[in-house]
Amino acid sequence: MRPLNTAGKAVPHPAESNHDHKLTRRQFAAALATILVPVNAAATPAVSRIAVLDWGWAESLLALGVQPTAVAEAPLYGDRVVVPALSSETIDLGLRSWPNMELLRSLKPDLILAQAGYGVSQARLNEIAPTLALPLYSAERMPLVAAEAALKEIAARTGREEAAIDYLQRAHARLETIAAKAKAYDGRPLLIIKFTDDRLIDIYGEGGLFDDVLKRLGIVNAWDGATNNWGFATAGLDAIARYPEARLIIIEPGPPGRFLQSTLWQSLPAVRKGHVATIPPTWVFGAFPSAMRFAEVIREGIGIA
Amino acid sequence: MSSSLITLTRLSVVMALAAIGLYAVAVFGYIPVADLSAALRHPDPASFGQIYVHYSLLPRMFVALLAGGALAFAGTIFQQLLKNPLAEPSTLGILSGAQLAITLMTLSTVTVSAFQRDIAALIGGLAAVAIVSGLTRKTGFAPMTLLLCGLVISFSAGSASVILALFHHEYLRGVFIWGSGSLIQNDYANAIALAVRFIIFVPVLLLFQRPLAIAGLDDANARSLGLSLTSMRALVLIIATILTALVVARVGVVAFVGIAASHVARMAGARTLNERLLWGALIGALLLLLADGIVLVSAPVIGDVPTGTITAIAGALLMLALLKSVPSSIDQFTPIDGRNSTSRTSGSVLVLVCIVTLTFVAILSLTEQMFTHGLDPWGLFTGRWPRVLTSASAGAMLAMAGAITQAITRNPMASPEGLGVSGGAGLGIIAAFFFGGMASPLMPIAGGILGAILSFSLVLTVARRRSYATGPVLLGGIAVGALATAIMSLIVASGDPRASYILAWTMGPTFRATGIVALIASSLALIGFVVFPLFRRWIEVLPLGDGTARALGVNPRRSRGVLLLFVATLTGIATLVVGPLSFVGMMAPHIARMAGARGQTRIVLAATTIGATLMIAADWLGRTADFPYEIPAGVIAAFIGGPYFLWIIRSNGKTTLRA
Repeated sequence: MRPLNTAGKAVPHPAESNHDHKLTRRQFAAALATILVPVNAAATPAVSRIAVLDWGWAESLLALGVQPTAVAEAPLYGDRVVVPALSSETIDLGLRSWPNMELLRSLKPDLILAQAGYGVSQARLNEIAPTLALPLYSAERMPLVAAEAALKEIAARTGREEAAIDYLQRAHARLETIAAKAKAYDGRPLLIIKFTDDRLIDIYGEGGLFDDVLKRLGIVNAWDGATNNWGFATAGLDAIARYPEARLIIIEPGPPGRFLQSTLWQSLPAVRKGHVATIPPTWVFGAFPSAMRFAEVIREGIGIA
Repeated sequence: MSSSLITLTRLSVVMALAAIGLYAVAVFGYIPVADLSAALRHPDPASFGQIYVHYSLLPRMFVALLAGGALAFAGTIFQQLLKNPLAEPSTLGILSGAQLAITLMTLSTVTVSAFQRDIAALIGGLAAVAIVSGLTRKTGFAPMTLLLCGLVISFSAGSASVILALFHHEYLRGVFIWGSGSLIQNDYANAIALAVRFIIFVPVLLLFQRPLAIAGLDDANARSLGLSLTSMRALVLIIATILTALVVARVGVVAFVGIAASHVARMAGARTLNERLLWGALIGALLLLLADGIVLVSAPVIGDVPTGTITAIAGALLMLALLKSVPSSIDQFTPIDGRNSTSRTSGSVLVLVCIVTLTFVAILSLTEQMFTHGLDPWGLFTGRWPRVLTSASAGAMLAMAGAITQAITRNPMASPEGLGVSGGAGLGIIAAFFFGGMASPLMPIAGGILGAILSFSLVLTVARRRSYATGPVLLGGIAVGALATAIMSLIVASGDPRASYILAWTMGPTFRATGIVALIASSLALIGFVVFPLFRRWIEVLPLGDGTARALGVNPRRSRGVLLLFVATLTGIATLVVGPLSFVGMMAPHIARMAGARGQTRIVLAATTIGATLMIAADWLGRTADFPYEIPAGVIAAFIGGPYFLWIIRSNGKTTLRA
């Protein structure tokens, strides 16, 4: 198993291997960090050894200026969530859906952060250490609200209330600014898509983090179809054509090869009218920091800088 | 009987009309009827509907026709060549082999071009055929042995792909969408590539039509006509495999079209090889077109289900229905003969050695600290005893089930894994997740048991008509397993973030075992152990044959039914713990016999201990091999068990003489 596993981790995603693109992402991350990550990191948090089983909570913790001791699938976090970055010393706990329980036990964490209803049950984690199992993608279908509540709760448990208030204040102010600027936007509804290959796309809609952010910014999400538990639907390209007035937002990595030059793609109403924008990779199942990152990339993407 | 009503021409016309009707519904959803000829010939670039019909739906029709035709054509060739009514690209392992090769290539290269995909598919497909034919050559490609080899390779390659997906879920989603046989097209590239392949390979294969027709009659007959049968067979096998692999590279895994088309053609009256080849190809083309039309029209309601999943589900059901057409003569295997073993260990010493090994392995697994530090022995023990006890119980139950199955069928390849119970349990677990959510661990357990019972009843119903002959039972079970694999691929392709969790469940997560699960599993294993002596007489008598059994006052049908139910229960419970692919139930009785166990009862006892040992060892390996990532114990056991299974088939083949 090991060679395959390491191979998979070492090899960048096909479309992510593009150098130009990596550079943009890194520059972008640096720019974001100056806005959102508090400079004065924690002096002595109430709990010091935190094991995190969900990337959304890992990024929330980092936003509060706390480095987690261990994170599930930590090496992959760098590829997918990108910023805020984990320390290179972060211990890899194994799969997010099923972390290594013995390793978790041996690390003697003061606190375990998990997503409620995903992976190991809270009861079993509680046997190892006090566990905070917070909902994110739940029946409520309001991930942004859940993410903010979770950030506050994590802050309360780690003695970082001030950092949380500070962070949320700046974040909300930032969202207000973007929302105000969005009034200048032409009001064209957005269709936010991600390619799985060159034939099928994921479309983000109701119940997803991105949809919540768009609502907050006062921008209309074009997709009105059904979505799953995590707020997305998988469909063929013809789904895009059903929204001829929408502006297409493609989350990178885009489709492989020269697909964007094909006759089929070029004949899509949105493409013909030039209503297409590409935004850098953004973690689609994330928490508050991912939401903020999405707000920033969408601001750039629709040109309301 | 109904030959006057159903003729090949009428059937083809009806199928073609139905498929075209379905496509028409889809097409006119995009464009008005008046625009049809424009859309087909010169689509207006300003109209997405016309472009979509021209560049997506039209090539999709061509791809469905060409792929279905090629797969059915190759299927008929395989059936003729191997004299096996159930042979086709999927049952020979070609599709899964190609899929695994392409998955591996995706993981090791940055971007995979269409050409690289072709090469990978060729390597994977040819490797699968080489293994299958290499293993069965000695038996003269005995049909049942061949199918078992092909399906075991299918299983192993399929499960390897699933494991890769477990660890690279998001990377591999695209590959899995391709792998499930989605026929969505964006341009004519695939249609043109398939047409070229069709035009080159079909005439080449038709050149062999005459020698193939003779080979179909009789080996001796053909030899007397001066044919070098072996070399011709090998050549045709390779060419047909290349055609299949090159089709797979473009459309993904589209299973069972070959079987379905040739059987439909035969039923509708195709007699000679020539008729079966040409009509089979036409019907195959129309079948896939029909399946794709159904997928296309129902997409707005049920979402974009890959067409390959539909054919896999339909094909698995068809295979169950076709089991009665497998000739009885091919069910023969070398009866298990314990006397040829060289070991002379006495029974009690053997059992003692087994128990000592079991204890040693259990203690090692409970105490080693290779990767974790700073855990006190008690902490280590409380964390580990549930998984060790659960593994041991599951291994013991599977081994007992395997030993009983092998004893009553005298078939060295019989095993609970082959009965379809495991696949059914896997399907039940998946259903429980989707309908009940992930909140309670009781739901998947209930789903698993229900699935096991349902699938086993299904296989039994089919097998009853064949008096529980081993071959049909095994094939029925394997068909259910194929169904489970198809549905798992579909889940990975769906992009649901729960996929990796569900995959891990179906692969046998001993690391998930809690104290309660361990206690339940071990109590059930103990109950099985206690109940077992009640069946001792049956197990000793049934291998002697039905006539002897009846003379000794045992009703062979009823006793066999009860034993199969007992086996199913043991397997169903064990599957929940270690997943469907362990092969422990097949391996453990073999090892017991090789170690010198004599007498059915003693074999069952030794096998039970050995099964427990194997599972504990697999659980330990899964924990340490890729620390901190846990590999399900069932997967580890399958990696050892799959090759072992093939090795047994091979050594079995060596001593088998075909009549």
